[in-house]
Amino acid sequence: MVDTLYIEREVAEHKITQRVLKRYPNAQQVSIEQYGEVFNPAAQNFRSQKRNPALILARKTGQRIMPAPEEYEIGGDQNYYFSHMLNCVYDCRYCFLQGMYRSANYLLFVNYDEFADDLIEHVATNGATEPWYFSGYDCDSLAFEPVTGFAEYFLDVFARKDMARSTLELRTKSTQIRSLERRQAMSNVVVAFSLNPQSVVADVEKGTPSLDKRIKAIQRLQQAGWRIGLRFDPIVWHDDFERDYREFFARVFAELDSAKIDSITLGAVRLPKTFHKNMVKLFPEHWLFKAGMTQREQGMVGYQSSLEERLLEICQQQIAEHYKHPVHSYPIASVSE
Amino acid sequence: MCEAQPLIKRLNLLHQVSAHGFRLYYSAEQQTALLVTGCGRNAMAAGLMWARSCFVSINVFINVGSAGHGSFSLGECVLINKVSEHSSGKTYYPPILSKWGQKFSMLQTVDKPSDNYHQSLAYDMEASAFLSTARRLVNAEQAQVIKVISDNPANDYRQLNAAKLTELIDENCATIIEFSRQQTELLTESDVAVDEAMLEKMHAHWHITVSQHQQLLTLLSSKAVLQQFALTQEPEWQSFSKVKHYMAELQTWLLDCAPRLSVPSKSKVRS
Repeated sequence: MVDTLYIEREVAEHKITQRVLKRYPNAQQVSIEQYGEVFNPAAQNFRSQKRNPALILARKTGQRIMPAPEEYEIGGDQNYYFSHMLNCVYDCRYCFLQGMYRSANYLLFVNYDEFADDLIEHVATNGATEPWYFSGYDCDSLAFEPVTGFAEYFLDVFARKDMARSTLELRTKSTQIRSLERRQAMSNVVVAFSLNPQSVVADVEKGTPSLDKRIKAIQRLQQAGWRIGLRFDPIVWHDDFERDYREFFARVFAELDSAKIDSITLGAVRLPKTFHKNMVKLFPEHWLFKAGMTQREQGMVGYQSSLEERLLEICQQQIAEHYKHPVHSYPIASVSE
Repeated sequence: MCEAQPLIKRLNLLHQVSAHGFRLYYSAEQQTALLVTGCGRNAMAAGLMWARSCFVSINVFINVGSAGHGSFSLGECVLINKVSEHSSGKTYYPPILSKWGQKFSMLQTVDKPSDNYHQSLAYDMEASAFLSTARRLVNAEQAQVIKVISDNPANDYRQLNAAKLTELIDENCATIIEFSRQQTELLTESDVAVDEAMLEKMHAHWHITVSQHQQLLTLLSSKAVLQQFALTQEPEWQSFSKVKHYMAELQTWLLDCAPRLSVPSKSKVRS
């Protein structure tokens, strides 16, 4: 539920803005000139705002398609991401957004049409054979779908003939899959689900669908022919780690069709040092930012290297019992400067 | 002062201190204080800084006062969601987290009273200075503006008197106090208490540099969070001849504290 909408004057009449306004007829509307007035001021507390985030509707100017971070490079010969939204409706304690942004307000860029133009031009001109575009870096790709209609819009874009050699990856924890189910599965779209054992979901992935519901959503998409990615990232160390993850992997691979899994990636909790510092300030009482954590190479904070290595190895071995294809693993040591 | 009286009474603010032309009323337990600044931006900025120096622990600030409005009725209590300062064009958006069952309004802070009302705006003479100053002291969420409508195009400000202002605020005291309670509840920050007495003993026991003190605080704070998960006895600090040796040992001990999830997996519940 959103109580407050901040609306850039420039996009007040935009089609997507009007769609969102219909969704929140009782929300107070505040007109703003530029989203930075609300989103960027220094003296804001992310944790406090997360209790009742406002929704900011704005136009994304400047560069809209960015080179993908290394962890995302599992796709094509060139990898990019684009963010139609900053901040997430979920409240995962490990999420780097808490350390990156001052505001917990949802910032939705409504100029989908300009994103689409940029994507079409990018595919035509960037020279890549199979460019890969990720959504879900700065927000969950599907969690806000009933409000934003993001997937509905961009699936149409990637369904164009001139976009056929490009791939869209929607990264999500959400079960809002109706906009995908309403259409034929697309060969150039991968729906990548982040998964964790239910004990981890319940403890540190506040507000997200249960593992059970995520598996059911994936099953439905697999049956409909959609390409599925699994992201076991971040795995979270705890006292029953080995048993919890063994049972978890056994369940995931028993209930899903392994032959129809497009790719699997694996990574442990890791954060840039500055984000980690901000998050400790926000949640000084939370064990996640302290347990097994240490300063690592490349300006990162994560599990001490021997622990990270052990956790990733355990998961690799457990996955290998069920899934015979390579798993892309991302230890901190693999991050280049 | 006429606007302050009803709140002073309802909040039971029996004590007062005065300085620099300001009066500050406060409760016996010093959890709530009310500052009477008088009119205008300068008075607001100076008064707020002084009040903060008197009560450093207060972390929720609310500017309560009367305001004109282009279309709202007299006595309506509004929470302000946008403040623009007429003279500078500066704009502030107080992030609204608490539930508010009354109306919202945008507000313009002007330098002198006017009967030139815009339909959708409230008018006052202090709010922009309040927000600008408060944001130097606390986060944006912790500073809010509530105004009771005292004049509008049909009842201009010249008709106002002290008794009427007191009455208007009095009628809205319950709303204002409830909002203040919610804000305080929402914005209480978590902290990890480090054992200060032990830290003092450590300082007496070892020579600790400033940077070591910081590192030690970080480690002790981690210890406070993780010791619930410890499988082995934590290192006895008194047995170390130097603080750096203790910190190294504590670091190793902390790294072995595997957290227990608060929601166990099904198999654990069964067992």
